[in-house]
Amino acid sequence: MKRVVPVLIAVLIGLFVLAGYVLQSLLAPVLIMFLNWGVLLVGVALLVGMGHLLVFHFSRLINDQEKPFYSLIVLSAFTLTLVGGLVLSLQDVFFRNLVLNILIPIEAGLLAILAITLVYMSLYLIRTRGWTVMSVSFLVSAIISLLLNLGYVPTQPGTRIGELVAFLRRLPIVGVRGILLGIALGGLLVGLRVILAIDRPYGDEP
Amino acid sequence: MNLSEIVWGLIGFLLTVMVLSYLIGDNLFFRLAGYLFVGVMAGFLSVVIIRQILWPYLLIPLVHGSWLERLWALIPLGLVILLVLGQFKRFTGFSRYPLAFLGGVAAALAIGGAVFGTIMPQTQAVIEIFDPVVWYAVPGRTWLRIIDAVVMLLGTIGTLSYFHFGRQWRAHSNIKAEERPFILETLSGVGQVFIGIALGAVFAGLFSSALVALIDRILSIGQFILLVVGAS
Amino acid sequence: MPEWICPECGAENPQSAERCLNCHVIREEDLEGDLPEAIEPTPPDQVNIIPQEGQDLPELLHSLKEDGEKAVEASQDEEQSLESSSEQPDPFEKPESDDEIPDWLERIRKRAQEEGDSIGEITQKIMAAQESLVEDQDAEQRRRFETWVQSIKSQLEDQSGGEDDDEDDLESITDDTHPVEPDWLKRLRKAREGDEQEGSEQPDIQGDSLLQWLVALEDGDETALLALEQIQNLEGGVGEETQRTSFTGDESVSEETQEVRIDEPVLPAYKPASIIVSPQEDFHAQQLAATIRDEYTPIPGSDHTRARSSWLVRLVIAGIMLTALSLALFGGFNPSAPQNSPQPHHEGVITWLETLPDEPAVLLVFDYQAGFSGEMMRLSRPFMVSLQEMNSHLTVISTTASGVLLNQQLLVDDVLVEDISITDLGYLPLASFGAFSLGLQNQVAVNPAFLPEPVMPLSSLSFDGIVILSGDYEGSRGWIEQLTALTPETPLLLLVTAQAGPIVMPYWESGQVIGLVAGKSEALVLESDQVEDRWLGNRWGAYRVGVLITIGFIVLGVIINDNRDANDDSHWGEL
Repeated sequence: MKRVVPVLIAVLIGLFVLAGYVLQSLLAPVLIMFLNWGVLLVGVALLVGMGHLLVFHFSRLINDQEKPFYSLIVLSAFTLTLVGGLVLSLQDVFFRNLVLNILIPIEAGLLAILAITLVYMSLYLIRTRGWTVMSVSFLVSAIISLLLNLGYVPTQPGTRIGELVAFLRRLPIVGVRGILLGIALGGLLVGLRVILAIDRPYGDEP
Repeated sequence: MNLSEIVWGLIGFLLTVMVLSYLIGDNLFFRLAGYLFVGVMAGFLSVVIIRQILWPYLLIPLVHGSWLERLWALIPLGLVILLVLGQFKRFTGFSRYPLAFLGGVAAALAIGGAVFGTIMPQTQAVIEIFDPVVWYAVPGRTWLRIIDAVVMLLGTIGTLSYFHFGRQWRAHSNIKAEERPFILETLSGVGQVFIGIALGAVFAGLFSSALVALIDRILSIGQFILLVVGAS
Repeated sequence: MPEWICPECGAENPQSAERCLNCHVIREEDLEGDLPEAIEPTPPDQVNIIPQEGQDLPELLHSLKEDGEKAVEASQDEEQSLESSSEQPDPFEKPESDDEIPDWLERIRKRAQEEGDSIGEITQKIMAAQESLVEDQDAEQRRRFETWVQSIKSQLEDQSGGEDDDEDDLESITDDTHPVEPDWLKRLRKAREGDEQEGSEQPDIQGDSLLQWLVALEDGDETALLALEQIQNLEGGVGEETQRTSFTGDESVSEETQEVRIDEPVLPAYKPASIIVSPQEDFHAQQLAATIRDEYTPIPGSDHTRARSSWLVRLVIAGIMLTALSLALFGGFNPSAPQNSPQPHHEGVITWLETLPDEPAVLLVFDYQAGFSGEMMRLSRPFMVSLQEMNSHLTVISTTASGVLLNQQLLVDDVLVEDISITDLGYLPLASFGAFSLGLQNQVAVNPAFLPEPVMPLSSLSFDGIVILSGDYEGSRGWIEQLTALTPETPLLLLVTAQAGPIVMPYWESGQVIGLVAGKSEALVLESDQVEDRWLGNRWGAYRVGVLITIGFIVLGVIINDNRDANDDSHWGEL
């Protein structure tokens, strides 16, 4: 019974939501309610994840294990942000500046490092991948895309160059469409396996 | 120039320098910035979830709702309790029910989105470019549109062929397990070219975004230095 | 093939090798004698408990039968051997081959087979028990057998006890009915029973017991230390017994010899309980040895010189990029305006803006991380300015946590939208959940009375267009898929970063999205068409410099690697 109930829940809810794509106006009110529950559960799951993170760092701090100083930083930053956010509001200018002036420099800084790393990797592309069909087409496409982004090439429609540029810009769409279709087919299969109870990511694998 | 500009500018400047110091090598300052990011992000995410999910989706119906809303709110409340209880070893099995609910919804959305949002429209787009009405809609260079349509079709099928995942050939078949049919192999070769082109464009896009971020960071450092120099 | 593992480097060497083939360390005899015997699983036919018993006890019996004359000689020999520590009986010693069996034992065995006298029966029973024990390794049976052997010994001691003046010594070890065990033996048996009970309770960890025990020992675990102490006590106990034997006088030689013979057989019964190695343990030990060995082998990636050169190259690239971009930003570099014309996917955005009614209702979806805020603010700014000029009713929803703050940063701090109304629908943790929920809201005019009111107000969710501001393709894909399926009639527009642009382009081409602007370079095209003030100038110049440097590095990489691999045709063969 313990194993049957979760499977039943997953299958029935899944089929009901799927039916919502076809019988939208009929099922929409109930589906909206289910979706609200789902949003709530995802939020709580994220909170649980935060809890695990805190427990990990707290235990590292208490047990004086490896690098407790970093755990102290994590816990302090967490506490200050949490208290600040609960005492103030999300619309508060100070709180917004506090959070964004920490998040933006760090995330953008990591992206900046990525830029340097990409240049470095492009220097060694042929050495690591060799002269293959894919590496050559990759290199040519990357250089053309970068050049087209510079705005040196006139792209007036109706001219020969304009037509050529439009064709070159459309060319990546072909491969990307194939990739998107592949991703969609993969998602479809995974979803079907869950709906048919072949995969049970909620536990109790068959 | 006011004080808050200097303070926020200083924080941004220091954090940027700390993160960029990774270019020299992994060091204490980079790790400090990393752990600070984790703490702030976790705290902020918790605040957002409490204020914008727990409060409106659970607590308001329970506290301020009508008796009907409170009754309905008991179901998600029960699921939440089961999910939280499931984190303790003694009650591990409890989290199966809310996770099964989430799994069912997510699986249905994945199927619906994939079928109605990608597979059908994209397949239709490939088919539509063979519509003669489209070919002759604009006079001149019709042959170019035909070639374009053929390239699109071949490229899409080739890309899918490259990612072909199939079962092993049956034992009684003469074809070896490693070998694929000639047509599939050929299309796969064509697909490689288009995948390379697509990934090259993605690389250029990714680099563009990263470069913009690098430029922004350099600009913010320079502006802060100019601010301090100008103030002094 | 038997092997021994070098204690220095962990390499496996043939049994015959005197030095390690890897590190040339001389093989230590002590380790050689103990470890391989202890670690290698012992086949059932080599269990060496009774052969010593059978070998020792007949010797005793023989000495009794020969009126003690030969027994005295044997005891003296034994005493001499006990005094020499190097000649102590090894409990793990393999049974002697037939060639090594002494003549007296051979004679007894022969007589025992031919004659049915009492001594022969005892010997036969011992031999039968020996075979039975070899066949059945059950611990309970082994314990019963030991008890039986003890009782036989006590009977024999009783027979010779009347002749002995110093009877107290013997009574301290044995009793008429129940054998009295020494303390160390009790502790060992207790520990072994405890082990067996634990083993029955936790069968899963048996395979890891050796490694766990070793690790626990290294960590100072109390249980492991206790086990080690027991082993040491055992050795100490043997030593004590042996020592006591060596101090006895000549007259009590035979009794003391009996005492030694009685105690010895217990040793192997205890020891294997802690060192029997299962195939799993052996496998883990081999893995551990391989890991230790791998740690000593040179790793190509950790080549110091190569890592240093790689680090230097990266540093040089970073230096060039930072210097060039700084010069472009602050050096007064004034780039020319881009010659790009709006592309078809840009025109969709422009056309949509132009055809919007007065005070349009627009939904803005914030789905980008804080790191992309610089790019997103610049590419969406002209768009937001246009919406502001139309007095739009903006509704915002975020599917990233930081989107909650970023929408305020964009709309309030940057664009300064003051006169238009903004409704914040808050944060939805998953794009597909939010999009599906939002798409369904359009289908419901009135909520049924028996259901709770939805969190999002239904009346405000009819839009003239939905604009997705996204940093990566996953979030935008979730929105596009769900909204295409549920509300295909609502115009959908994308303002995305350059990295997401190429991947979401097929959605524009298929008509699911009516307009798309991807990245800063395309935003500049859009801006030049709509906004006169080109405030992006310096950044645009730096961007061009950065891209040109990158193209230069890519070409340089091709040239360098092409020259280096000029003689290597294998790469070209792959093309």
